[in-house]
Amino acid sequence: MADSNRGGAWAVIFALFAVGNLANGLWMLASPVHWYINLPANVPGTGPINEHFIRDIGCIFTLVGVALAVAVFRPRFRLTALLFATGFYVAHALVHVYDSLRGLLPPEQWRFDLLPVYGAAIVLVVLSVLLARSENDRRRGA
Amino acid sequence: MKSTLRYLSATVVGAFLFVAPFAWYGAGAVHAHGAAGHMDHGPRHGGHLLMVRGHHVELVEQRGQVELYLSDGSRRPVRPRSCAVTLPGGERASCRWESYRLVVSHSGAFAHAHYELEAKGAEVLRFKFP
Repeated sequence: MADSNRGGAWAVIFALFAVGNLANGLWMLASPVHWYINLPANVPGTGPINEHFIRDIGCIFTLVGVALAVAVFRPRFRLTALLFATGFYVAHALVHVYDSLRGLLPPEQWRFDLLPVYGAAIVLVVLSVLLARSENDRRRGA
Repeated sequence: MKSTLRYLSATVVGAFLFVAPFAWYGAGAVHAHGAAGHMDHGPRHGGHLLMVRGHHVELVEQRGQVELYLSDGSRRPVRPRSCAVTLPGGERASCRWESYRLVVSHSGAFAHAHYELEAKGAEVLRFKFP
């Protein structure tokens, strides 16, 4: 528990990211219909409601949120948690690229996805590299 | 100073990542997609889609009942305030709300049944089964 990163800037990032994922995931699990109708986005534009699938996706959001939340208090777990979240976000971004290229998503979807889907995935990859380097430096210094 | 900047940057990055999961389906895209929603007249549940006063109404007859999916111009599900279904002989069928659809039950056939739904703003939608 002598990790020097505790309470640092990384904890702020992990905490905010954890809350976002947990809130979204728990909302999906608790009330899929409410989430589908009330999320300030165009979920109905992507297809009809499927409560079961919304809960399925809610599971992964919740798990990512839990991993990130644990990592706020367990700095040694941060790289693992960040790689877990990054894997999910990058895989999701690739699905959007594939579905946009084959026309399943409308042409204007690129514009809407630019920041929340592709931007977030890129930011997470950059953060993973930075954290991995930082961990590496710390190990060498230890 | 350096530490303050680091925390500030972390907060900005964290805030961005906080919002990201909620914006996956296009935050603020509702209006932009609104027009597309109005042009989207495809049934999504294998039934008959009608446009009634700017609302999408999809009727699916199966298992001796009718499932009615009511949504607004952007295909957001709408829960009607009231529902009345009258069969050609003057008989009434019962309606019940199940999660995000209206289920209409009756022992007989639904052909030519008349529907009357009260949507938001006391708007009354009248249509008949195709």
